[in-house]
Amino acid sequence: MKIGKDAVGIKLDLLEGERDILAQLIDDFREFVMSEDLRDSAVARLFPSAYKESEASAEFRKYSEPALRETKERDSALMRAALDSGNVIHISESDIDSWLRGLNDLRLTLGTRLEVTGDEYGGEIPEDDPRSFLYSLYGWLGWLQGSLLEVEF
Amino acid sequence: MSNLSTIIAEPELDLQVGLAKPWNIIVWNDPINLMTYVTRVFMTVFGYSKEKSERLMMEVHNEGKSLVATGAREAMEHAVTRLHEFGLWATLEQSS
Repeated sequence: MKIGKDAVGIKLDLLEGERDILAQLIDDFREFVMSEDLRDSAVARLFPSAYKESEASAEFRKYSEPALRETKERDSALMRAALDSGNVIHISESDIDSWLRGLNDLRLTLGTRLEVTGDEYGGEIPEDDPRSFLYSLYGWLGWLQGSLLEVEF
Repeated sequence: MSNLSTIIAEPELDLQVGLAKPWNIIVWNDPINLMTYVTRVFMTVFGYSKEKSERLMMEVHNEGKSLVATGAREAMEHAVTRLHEFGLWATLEQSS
């Protein structure tokens, strides 16, 4: 992966394999975010409660959750469409928020599933851990999001 | 007709506008969001400077939470929805 500024915003140059895996993650996410099961810890993390009191939280959720869902739907669709156009992606300034949010949604989902606790990038995992591939994906997503922020600032 | 006695008799009525205690937005620490990302979100959602946003982010990181904004309930609820869109763990509570 290479990343840098270009005339419209940020240029992201992905390897074929990186593009495929990111596209797959987004497809999975889009399917998963449609499930409305708040007992799932990753769904609960993506749609947090705004109040301690359950009644106030439920009232707040009534109008905030559809808005949240719509944003996730839009952000993930935007990233997915960009990946379809090739390995070199030009992210315009107006699309940067969508990329940052969308990548963050993927990190939150994976990180919650992996029960990440301390290290921002996932830390060290034993090689024989069956989840080591997911950990490396999680680390890669953090690196990608961090690089976008670094280039932007 | 609304006079003081009907207003007092109907506490639901929006006396709140000027008299109610303001609402606080609390952002809680979580192990996933990148520090630079949290800073960027505060700049975007609240229009804070990079310095102020970094200070608040460090408070979240070190203290476990930070009070990041105070104001009327509706405006604060709107801001919390935006923070949730960005994946921050934010809650609302009334000032004591």
